Amino acid sequence: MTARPRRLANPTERLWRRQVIRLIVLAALGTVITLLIRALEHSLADQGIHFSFDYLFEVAGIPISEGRTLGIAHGWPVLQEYLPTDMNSQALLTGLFNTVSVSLMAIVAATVLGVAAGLGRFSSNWLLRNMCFAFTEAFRNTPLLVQLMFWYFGVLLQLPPITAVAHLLGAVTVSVHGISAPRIDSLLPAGVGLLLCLLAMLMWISTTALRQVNRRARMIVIWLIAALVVLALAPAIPLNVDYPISGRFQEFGGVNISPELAALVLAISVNSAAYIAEIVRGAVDSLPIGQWEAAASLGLTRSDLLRQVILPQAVKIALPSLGNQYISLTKNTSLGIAVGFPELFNVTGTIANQTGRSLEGFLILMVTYLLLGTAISFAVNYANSNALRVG
Amino acid sequence: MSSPFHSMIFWSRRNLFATAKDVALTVMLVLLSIWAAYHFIHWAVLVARWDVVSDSLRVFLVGTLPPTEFWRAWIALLFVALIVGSMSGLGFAFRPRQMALTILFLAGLTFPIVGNNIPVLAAVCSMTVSFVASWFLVSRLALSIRHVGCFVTGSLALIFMILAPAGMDRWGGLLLSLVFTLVSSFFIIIFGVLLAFGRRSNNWALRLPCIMYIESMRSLPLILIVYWIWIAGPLFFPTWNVAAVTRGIAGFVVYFSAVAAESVRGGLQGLPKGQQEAARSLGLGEFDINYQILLPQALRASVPALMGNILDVFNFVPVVFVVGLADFLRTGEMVLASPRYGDRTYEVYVFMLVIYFAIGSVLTFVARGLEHHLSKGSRRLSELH
Amino acid sequence: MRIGLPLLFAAFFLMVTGSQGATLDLVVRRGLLNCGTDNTNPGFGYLNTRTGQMEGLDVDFCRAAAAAVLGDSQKVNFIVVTDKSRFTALQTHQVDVVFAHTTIEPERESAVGVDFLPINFYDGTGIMVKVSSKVTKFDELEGATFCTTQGSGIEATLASAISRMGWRKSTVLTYENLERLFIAFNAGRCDAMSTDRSALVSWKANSARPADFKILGETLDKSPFAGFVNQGDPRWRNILRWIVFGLFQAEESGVTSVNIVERLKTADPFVQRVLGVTGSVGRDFGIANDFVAKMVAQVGNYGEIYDRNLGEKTSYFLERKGTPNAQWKDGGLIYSPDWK
Repeated sequence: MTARPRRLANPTERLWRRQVIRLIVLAALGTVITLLIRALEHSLADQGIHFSFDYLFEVAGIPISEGRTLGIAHGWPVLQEYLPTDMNSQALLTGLFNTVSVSLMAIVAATVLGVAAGLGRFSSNWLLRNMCFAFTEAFRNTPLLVQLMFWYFGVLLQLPPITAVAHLLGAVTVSVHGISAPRIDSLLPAGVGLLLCLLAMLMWISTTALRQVNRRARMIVIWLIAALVVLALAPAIPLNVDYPISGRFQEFGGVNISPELAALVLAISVNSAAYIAEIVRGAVDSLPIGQWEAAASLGLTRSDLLRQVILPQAVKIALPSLGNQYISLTKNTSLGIAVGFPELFNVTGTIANQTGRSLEGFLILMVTYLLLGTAISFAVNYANSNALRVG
Repeated sequence: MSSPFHSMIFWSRRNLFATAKDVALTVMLVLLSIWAAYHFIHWAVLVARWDVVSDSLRVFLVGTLPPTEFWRAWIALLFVALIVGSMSGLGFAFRPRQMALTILFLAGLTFPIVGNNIPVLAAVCSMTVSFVASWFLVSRLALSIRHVGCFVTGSLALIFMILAPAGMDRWGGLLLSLVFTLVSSFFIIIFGVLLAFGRRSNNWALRLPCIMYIESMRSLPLILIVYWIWIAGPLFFPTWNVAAVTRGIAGFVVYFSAVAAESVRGGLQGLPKGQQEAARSLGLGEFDINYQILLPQALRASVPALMGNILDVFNFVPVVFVVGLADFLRTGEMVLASPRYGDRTYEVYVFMLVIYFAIGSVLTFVARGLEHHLSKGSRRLSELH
Repeated sequence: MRIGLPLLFAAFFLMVTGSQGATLDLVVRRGLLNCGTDNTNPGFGYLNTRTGQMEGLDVDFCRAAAAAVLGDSQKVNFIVVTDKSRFTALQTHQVDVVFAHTTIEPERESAVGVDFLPINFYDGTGIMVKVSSKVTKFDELEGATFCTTQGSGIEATLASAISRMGWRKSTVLTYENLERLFIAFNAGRCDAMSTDRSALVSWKANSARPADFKILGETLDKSPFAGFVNQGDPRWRNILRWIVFGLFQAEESGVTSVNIVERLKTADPFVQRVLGVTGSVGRDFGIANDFVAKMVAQVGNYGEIYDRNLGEKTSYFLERKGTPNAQWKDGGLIYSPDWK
């Protein structure tokens, strides 16, 4: 590797070079921004289109097959069913609700499955080890879109039709129209219950900071969280159970999980689980080998060792990468468009088609995804800094 | 007395039946595997009708390229095989016996499907030959990364020049997926490195835009970026016919450079700081430090992560369906749309999954080889078992 | 800070259009017509995977336009658009004209900003169900799951139909294209499949077991198909309007691709004007004066185009007699103004 001898720069030259680079970059950025804004004004004037967000308050007129939107009832914000007579903004909120619910479910499922598969790589059982390896390889080496198609068209749409379906436990049905189960009406309106659960979750995250500090304070906070959760899930009085009723074509009432939702959650969770397994494996690998040997000499069984010694440390190491995976996961929900699931990207496109408002729709989309990504990074960074502080 | 039978029992005792829980687990997994394997093989051999695959091989391979242009596709695929072979040669030594066995095994699988389609058979054979040849050459001649890098760049340019006159909007199928991945990866690595170094710059005018760019690409979905670059393209060049493929590649490059920048950054972080301080005390300028000292080491350290990124690029190519390109997945759907094959969903999807898995495995294999090659000296726990 | 660059990107990507030169000049300079069409709609815009060629009514209209404007019907660049992307593709000048079985709706001209050409196919929105569901009328579909394609406008139609009937529990699912829609319908996920009647007929005819499906008698609404161009270029729009009228008139005057050569020598002054032997319609527009003759010679008149794609010998046969798609002389609505 022969390098031409370069003249070494003295400090003054270096300073000048830095300033010149700064000027060039700023000038370039400034030109680009001005050009773009000019072009934007010019093109909007050309088209005669007024850039405005008024369309958000017009009637949507489009149907959305599932999800809840935000409405006001008795002064409280509530989650209510979306109707085509609602406004465009409520349609977008329905899409957002769907995106967020899929992301949350997938994050939980992927973490559980991924950590299990990652730890399974270190099991003493040869079969289990290699099956975890095969699982990781299979789902990381194939495209997510193909997996999604397979789950939807290949698995969920092959379930029996509603006329041939059996009733499990008398009330739960699994058919090509989805899963139906009875639902217990809750005491509080749906939106309030959700807010309470979110509050509980935030409090749970912040207790990690109190772990070593103040045992009594921590107990109080845990009891508070439990109370919040119980309140949020409390059944209405008198007890009212919504049983699914068989209509001519599908089940009504109760809790319905559509095949689109199930396919998207399944595909995204399993795919992310494979990546998380790889991350966990890498984290465990990076731990000093001495720990395993010490634990063996202490007589700990393999599963005890994994659960109590290795796992906490591995999670701490893996946390930043896990955060990245969660953000990826949230972005992957935009593939729901391929199976007709009405998440945010899909709904925005439909509205843009109906109203011609692609510009505004795109802006809203970008801001929303940025906020979602930032929120997840924030939560993970917070957990990360707490974990580092404590350990 | 340790006959093979005894050693096998001993091995199973240790690995499969150690504790009571283990026994239960093993039994359950074995039953599950047998059930799954039986059903799959029963379906694959008895129920499935595979003529849909052999009839549509042309569409799967090259999409809607007209028959007069096949020679271009053939040459392009040859070069793709050469590129992949040379990269494998970097990481692995050439082992004739294992390679021959693998090739025979794969030939046994593919011959029944490809057998009666002479052009495709010829293409596959020539690809295999060039793959093996380049592997052999690179490993025997002990070529360095620099040589291989030049070769790869040259081949990519050649592929583009050969395929372009056919009409870039006609590319499709596996050809499109592979060429798309290779060309995008080339630019992604370059821009990723630039962004990673820009992010570390002392000059805030460089650092801040890089940080903002990387952070925003982290949160935005790829499908959004690709769709909107596709829309913005003709606005800047109304009289140029900027092909959808180029715009798709631009979208992928814009998005994945940020991802690659993070991988390179990870590699950079692992380097000892003492080197930079020593170089600075010697009076070397920033650019020299970055280019001569940090870059080679950073690239070496971030190869595993970068190969993971390239695999991600390949796995996300099906997203180009939003811009109307017919990649491998889309050709599968087009085949299913024709009335003759309407009810062959399973066959087509299984075929596509198998091919995707094969290519993904090849990429992972190459990545692992490179990683192993570059990190000799540190013991890994997973390799002890 | 995190919003700054993305807003920059927003501005960057949201340049919906710049000031463009006249579309005709652009097309001539480029030497290719960028035509937006579907590639999964049998009979209208369909990619024949065997031959690798695009076929269909809309595809032939694209070819006719290329023949008229550029003189060669092969100088077309088919850009695939979906129901969702067809308007954006035109607005951002990806394509010069779109022929993609698009229904004329007022919002598309008022809010979205496109100009429609003369109607080249009269269709309606139909509903298809499985015979096994024992449904015979639309009224019996309370609580059913309807499926249609994304961005087709049929979502809104179904929503209004459902609310008109007062049904609260019906669901509407949308899929990206007809193939996936049909797979879902076949699997039983959808109880009723709703799209243009012509598409329903061709899919039913091409399915593995056509007798399993039944197209209901009701038409939910009218669906007149027409090509469309960008607003703001009246000259380009007028050229394409008269291209479409030219194809209608050629059929009415009995000029076909077979007899075009002799008809060019005709003494009938009316036909002479149509074919551009006399008069200066084409020249005034800025294209070849004999553009109609070129179109008919290379692609055929409207009747030949219809027969080639939707006629008796094809598998997507849609009867022309007695429908609005017949010539006005036969009681239909295909009507061209006189070329005086």
